[in-house]
Order: sequence, then C-alpha cells, then structure tokens
Amino acid sequence: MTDIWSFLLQTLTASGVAVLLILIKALFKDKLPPKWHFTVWGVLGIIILFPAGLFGRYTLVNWQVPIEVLKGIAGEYGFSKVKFPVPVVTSMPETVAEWIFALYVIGVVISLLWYAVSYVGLRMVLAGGRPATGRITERVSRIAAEVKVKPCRTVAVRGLPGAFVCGVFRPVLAVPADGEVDDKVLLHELLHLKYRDTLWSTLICILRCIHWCNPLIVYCAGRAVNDMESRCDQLVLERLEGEDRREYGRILLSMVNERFAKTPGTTCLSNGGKNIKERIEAIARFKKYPVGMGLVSKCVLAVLTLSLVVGVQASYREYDAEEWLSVASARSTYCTTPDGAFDTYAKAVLTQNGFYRLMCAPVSEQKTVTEEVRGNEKKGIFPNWNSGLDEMPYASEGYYVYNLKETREDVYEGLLVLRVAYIPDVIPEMHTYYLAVQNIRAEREGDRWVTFPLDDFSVVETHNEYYEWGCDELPGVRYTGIAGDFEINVTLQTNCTMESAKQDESDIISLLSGPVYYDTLPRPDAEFTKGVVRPTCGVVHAGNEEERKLIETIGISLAADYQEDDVPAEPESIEKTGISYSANGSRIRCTTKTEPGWGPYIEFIRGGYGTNLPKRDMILPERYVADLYVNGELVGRVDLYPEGGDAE
Amino acid sequence: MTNCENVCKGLKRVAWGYFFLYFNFNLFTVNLLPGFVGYILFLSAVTLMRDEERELSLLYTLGVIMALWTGAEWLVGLVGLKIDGLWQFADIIISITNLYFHFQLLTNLASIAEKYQTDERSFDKTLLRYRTFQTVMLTVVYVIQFFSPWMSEVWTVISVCMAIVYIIAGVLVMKTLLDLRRCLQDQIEKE
Repeated sequence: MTDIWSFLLQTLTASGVAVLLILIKALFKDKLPPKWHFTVWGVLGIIILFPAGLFGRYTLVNWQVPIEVLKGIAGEYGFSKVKFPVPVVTSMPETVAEWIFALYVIGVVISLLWYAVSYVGLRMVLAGGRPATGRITERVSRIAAEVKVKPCRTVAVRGLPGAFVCGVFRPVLAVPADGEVDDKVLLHELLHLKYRDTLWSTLICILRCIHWCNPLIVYCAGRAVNDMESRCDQLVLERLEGEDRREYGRILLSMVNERFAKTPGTTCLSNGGKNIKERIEAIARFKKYPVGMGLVSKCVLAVLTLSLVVGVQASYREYDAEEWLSVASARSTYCTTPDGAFDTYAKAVLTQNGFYRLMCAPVSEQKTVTEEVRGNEKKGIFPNWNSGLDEMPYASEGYYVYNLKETREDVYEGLLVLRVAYIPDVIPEMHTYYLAVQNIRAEREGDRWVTFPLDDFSVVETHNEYYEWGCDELPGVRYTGIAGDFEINVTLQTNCTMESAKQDESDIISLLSGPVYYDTLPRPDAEFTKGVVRPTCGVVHAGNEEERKLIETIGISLAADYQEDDVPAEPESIEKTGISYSANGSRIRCTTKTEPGWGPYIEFIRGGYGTNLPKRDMILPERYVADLYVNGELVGRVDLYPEGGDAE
Repeated sequence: MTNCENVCKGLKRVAWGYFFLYFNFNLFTVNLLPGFVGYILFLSAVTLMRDEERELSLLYTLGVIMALWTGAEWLVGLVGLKIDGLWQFADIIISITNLYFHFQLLTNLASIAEKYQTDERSFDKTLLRYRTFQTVMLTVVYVIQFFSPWMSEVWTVISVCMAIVYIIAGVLVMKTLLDLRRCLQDQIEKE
C-alpha cells in the first residue's frame, strides 16, 4: 500500500469480508464449534494479507468504483495498486491525499510502538518474578503430559490477577506468586501453548495496527482474541464434568484482567471484562459436537476461503445519466490480457464509446479521455468519444486483428480491421466493401494491458465479401529463403477476433429461436477464440527452361516454428501428389505436378483454415522451416524469415 | 400420534424433499420440481421430529433461508433469469448454509435411526456414510467451479460425471430413508 487509495481498497475489502463473517458467525453461533469460530477469522487474516484487486478481481463488493469516484473528485487520474498488504512511504507527501496517507502511516507506527511498549513492560514484570518450584511445576508437568504439550518455563509473579502464557519463540507461563492457581486454569493456558496462541495473538495485533483507523477490523480483532479464548474454554469443558464446569465459569468471572488484556504475544484467561459475558454465554451453550463436525467445519472453511480469495472478475457497468459513475466503473475495470485490450479498444471504436476507451487507455491518456467523455456527456453529445474514425463502422460485423505478432516481451502489434458503412464524398459501388484499418499496439502497463493506436485510420476498398477469411487488399507477411536454384516464398496473413455472438434472452420465445446479435460489450479478461491463418506458398526457379523441362513434380513440407517441437528434426517423406495439413494447420505438405512450359514461378498452396484455433497459432511465427523436394528427391532444408511485413 | 408415527411421517417427507432437490424436470424455463418445495418438506419434517431429536430445531432458521432462496430462484427462473451468481455475498451464505443443513439433517436422522432400528440393519451407519459423502461432494461441486477456466476441455465430462454421482447419491439417501421408515412401520404394526 503506497497511497491512501490502495489502503482504502485493502481496508474496505477486508471490511466487506468482516461483515460477512460476523453474519455467518451469528447464523452458526450455536451450530459450529468454538474451534471453527476462531479458525474462521483466519479467512479475514488471509484477505487482509492478500493484495486486494489482484488480476482485476474483487471480493464481495467492487470497492474500486467508489474509490475511483473519490479520485475523480480529487482530480487524480493515475492507477494505484496494492502490492504489499503493509503501508510503504515512497516519497515526501505533497498533495492532500498524500498527507492523509502519511497521517495514517504515523498512526500505524504509533500503534505498533504502543503495543511494543506494553509487551516490553509485561516482560519486565515477568523478569521480576521467580521460577516456579515445587507443587506448581509438578502440576504443570502433569497437565502438560495430559494434553500432550511440552511444558514451558513457569514463573511466579507477585500481583498477577491470573495465569497467562507470554512470548512467541520462548514462551513463559506466568502464575500469581501470592495465590492458588486452579488446575483448570493451568489446563486452559497449556492449551494456548499447545495451539501456539501467542503467535496468533501477535499476528492479530499487527493486523489491528495496520488497520487501526478501521473500527470494524479493530472490533473483529477483539472478537478473534475472544474466540481464541472460547476455543480453549470448550477444550477445557470437554475434559470436565457436572459441577466442575460451573466452577470453571465462576473462576473465569473472578479473574477479570484488564491490565494485560490487549498485550500482544500473551494469552490471558480473562481477556477483559467486556468479553467475559460472551464467553460465559458460550460456556452455558456448551455441548459435545457429533463426530464428523470437523469435516463439515473444514468444508465450510474451504468454501469460504476459496470464494473470498478467488473473488469475482470486475466487469464494466454503464450508469445511465450518471457519467461520473460510468467513468469510475470503466477505470476500475482494466484489461488483464493483451487480447482483452485489443477487444476493448476495437469495441470502443465500433461503438465510439469513451468509457470503453478508458478501460484500455494508458495512464497518460486517462485525463484527456475522461475530460472528453464527461464534457460530451454533459453537452448531451453522442457518441461521447472521437476515435479518429470519420466513417460510421458496422458495429454488428465486429472487428478483426490482422497479423498479430509479439514484437517484444509483453508488447503485441496488429492491424485492426473493421467494416465501415460509407465513405464521405464517395458513391458506394455494388459489391464493394470498405474496411477501416489502423495499426495498434497492446502493451503491459503495470497490471493493466493498454492499447496505443500507431497511426491514423485509413480505408481499404475490397470486393471480397468474406474478408474475414483473408483479403488480398490487406497486408500479409512474406517469409523467404533459398534452396538450390529455388527461392521459396510464403506469404502469411492471420487474423483473430473474439466470439461475441449473443442470444437474445429477453423472453422465452427469443431464448428458443431468437436472434443472435453481436455483443459489443468488451471482454477485458478474455483471449481470442476465433481466427484464420492463410498461407500462400510458391517457388521461383532461377534456372533455365531446359532445366525446368526435367522437373516433373515439386513438393514442399512447411512447418511454422511456434515452439521447439513444431519442426520435425529430420525431413520426412512427402506425398507423391496432393496437399495435407496437420490438425492445427501449422504443418503443410504439398506436391504439385508441373505443366509443360511452367515457370519461373509456381504457386501451390493458397487458402485459409481456422475459426477455432489455439491462440499461439494465430500469432505470426518467427520463421518457417521448409523441406523442398524436386521429382521426389530432397533438395534441402531452408529457414524462411520475414522480409519486412509487406503485402505480396 | 406417537413419536414413532411422527418419525415415520417425517422420514417420508425428508425422502420426498430430497426427490425435489435432486431431480429437475424443466418445461421450457419452468422447473416442475422446485427446490423450495423440498425445503418446505424438510421444515415440516423438522417440526414433526424435533421432540425426538432436540438438535433438529437448529435447522429451522437455515431451512427457512434455503426455502426463501430456492423459492426466489424458482420465481425469477420463470422469466428466464437467474439470481445464482448475482451477489457473491448471498452465494457464499447459501452455499455454506446448504452444506451445513444437509450435514446436520442426516446426522440427526442417523441419531434417530440408531434409537429405532432393529439389530438386523444399521441404518444409522449408512446414513452417516452418505452424509459424509454428500458433504464432500457438495464441497467439491462448489470448489471445482473455481478451476473451470483451466479445465475447459474436460469440463463437460466432469459436469456430467458430477451430475451422475449427485443423482446416485440422492437416490441412495432417499432409499435408505424409505427403508428406515418401512422398518419403523413394521415395528409399529407388530406392537
């Protein structure tokens, strides 16, 4: 937590979980054992220690939205992230928000110091005591053997109201030097020792200090300590019968200890007068739980922990007539995948929606886009964002990202292609389609994936209605290499998009046979699921006509080098004629017969394949490996590298 | 009505309750075997048998919560909507309530069975075995959803397998409860 916003996110997330746990604990108060009631606070501990908002997910409530509203009021457009669950000051405070954060950090330091001083004070009191001897040590050893715990050092101290264990690494059992200690009390304290409760008490204390200004967390910390005591009460009561149980309650009442109630690293049997009432009530409810209760307790804990830690993926929600809320929602829903960033940008362009652009815009553009969106919304102008595309896109036809490639780690580039309805000052012709294209880049910015347009939109004219299966008017990448007298050329065009067809679910009739429409809602966390790979392969013979007459067949085996095992180690035999594709299309083998008078160029692979391809096959490979065969004989193996991305 | 007769009636209602819970027959978007009917049957069984097993009263609040939730689910389901997954808060409470409810119900029924069963059949042990199995199964069904994005290729197979196991478990629980009821009825007739 490096600023007040990340602290707010963390503490509000923890508060939501705290409310849920208080509710669940109330619901299961008399149903699940005290051991469960203490252990369940561990879930809150995990949530407090687990950075909120990780991977664009939230727990119970998407607190990022109200925080973004507050940031909007404060005029902050940056993004904050919870990297560590503890506060870290990275610079001298300048703004009001930074000063508030500094005050909060000072509060943390003061609370930690206060507890440290009280702990040191207690250790000094214990240092004044004398090692216990005689009967008390014998009793401690006997009870420790009963509960199967290694006894710790025991000291007798004058003026103590009751016994307690103190210390995490070298715990000490402190007993009053001027009074008798009941066996039940010793049993209770030795059970604390067995379950390392001084460690839990210290951890609870540290978490309480980190969230000192959140009364709900402070309250839960107190409840957790109380539940820790109740758990030991239950364990003691399970070992007692009849009158002994009532006696135990009376001992508890007589030992109210306010002095060391909140000292970290200690376990006081009577942890403050206010908490005694609840524990006495728990003792009154005492019962032995049936066999199998441990199983259901663990199952409930597993369901709770997983649900809360995994959380829910944040999704954008548009608020009609409340543009400041829509801005906050968009800014709090960021893209977690490069494909999600491409999809969000493309849909922002398709619908001219500035809120979508905010989801994938880099920090440097957040202020400009926010001001443009808010300004236009206030003036009632729609669309609320100008993408730079002058023509009206066909939103229902979706978009394609052509020739997607990873230019360096965490940076992807591709050509955004979408169909537009008309071109200003151009009379549309029959069977002519206009495609708006723009080079775009997606790159990682912290946790977010953001997009940058690399140039302005331009319009390409095509007569190809099925441009999603590849389009000659759009660029491809040309791979070349030389094998003997032959120059091998592969021109590759790929495209990918996201499956966005959605069924109208408005009523039963629509559900059964209703229209399927293109869903323009961005999917910031998704991956491309649809795509086409369209290779065109040919060879140019550098020899003369006489040599060409001797060539009856030319064969080629192509392997796209996506990863190591894609390329066969040795050239394999090839079919005498025809073409075959591997299952994912990354390997193609083709043999063609030459016609009399052919040459010098012969093309023998053309066409696309795909629709549901794995993501890696929709990205341009680094190279192709080609084995060339002439008249069935291997000429050689050659690596084909991109020539610069020009169209064929 | 004697306690034993009440228990017989209660067992029958619990068995039918599980029938409504484990089976779904949908006519378009209308579920003809709504879960809330199952919970209403459980609640009436709890009322009948609580004198026999004091702990059963603990289930009353949880049963009402489950009946209201499944009732709301059924109602919104009529218009093709879902409330499942809308609020994580409610989802979590319902999941653990459901988990505990069935655990406690079968535990208490096993305890009743222990009192009334004859020496020939140990219904209590069978019920406790199914209870443990059901608790683990419900947890697995809930937990496995979180791993579904990484299991997309085998998800359909897993879902079908879980559905089959779920139905088999339901049938076995129902059969045991009805067998226990028959055993009690035989005893009443003999007396």
